[in-house]
Amino acid sequence: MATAGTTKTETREKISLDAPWNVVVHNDPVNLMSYVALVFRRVFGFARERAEKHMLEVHNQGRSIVWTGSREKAELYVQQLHSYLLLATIEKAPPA
Amino acid sequence: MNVQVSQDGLFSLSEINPILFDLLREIVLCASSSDPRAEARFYPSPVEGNDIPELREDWSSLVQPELQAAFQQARDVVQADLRNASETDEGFAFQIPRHHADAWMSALNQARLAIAEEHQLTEDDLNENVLPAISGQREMILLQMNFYAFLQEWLVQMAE
Repeated sequence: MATAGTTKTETREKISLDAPWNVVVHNDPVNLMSYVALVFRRVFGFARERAEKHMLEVHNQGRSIVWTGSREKAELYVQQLHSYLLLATIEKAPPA
Repeated sequence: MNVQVSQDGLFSLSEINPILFDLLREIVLCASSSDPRAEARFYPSPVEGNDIPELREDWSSLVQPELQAAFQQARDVVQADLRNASETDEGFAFQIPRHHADAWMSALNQARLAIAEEHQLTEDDLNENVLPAISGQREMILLQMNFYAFLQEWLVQMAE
């Protein structure tokens, strides 16, 4: 019983980790728009236009999904964004 | 205040009014705030709501100390640059080497975020295009926020 239970848990975890995750950046009143765009360029390597598009999405809509992929990499991106003092979270991407 | 950028990327700031220099000295003090609201803003959760509690725990025990060290390192760089300032008849002067620019951007951001949290400044407060006459502490805080924003904006442009 214990062994079977463990196997089930590990399988669920694997599915959960493999599913795509979003990196979401949230609006805050303090961070400068130019600074947010610069951070997007540095962290994700975005071109200026793409960085500004996401920055404006954050500003106007309150949030922007800036990256989607593995959970491990999403967590690393959120850590980097936090090091620039941006408000960022991960969330499970809805099924395609 | 006079700002010059040399070819090797050294930022030289001179003729700084003593009041503005005092505000520069306050960057590290403000950024080192122990206000719980500032603390919460500096170290936000990596998930919204109560999702993935184990990740929140890992974040507090593993990521937060790394961030604390990085923020402290940035403040130390700023403090060292300011410690090397000189005073002349025209005001204060000091230099920011280009490789210190990121530390300055971080420390200025820390200071602005901490001040905004402590004084509960709103987006409207920060977007006022005309600075009010300085008649009290709140106006002084807005002046400080605007001065830091001006410096940060300038550093962002230099980093482009």
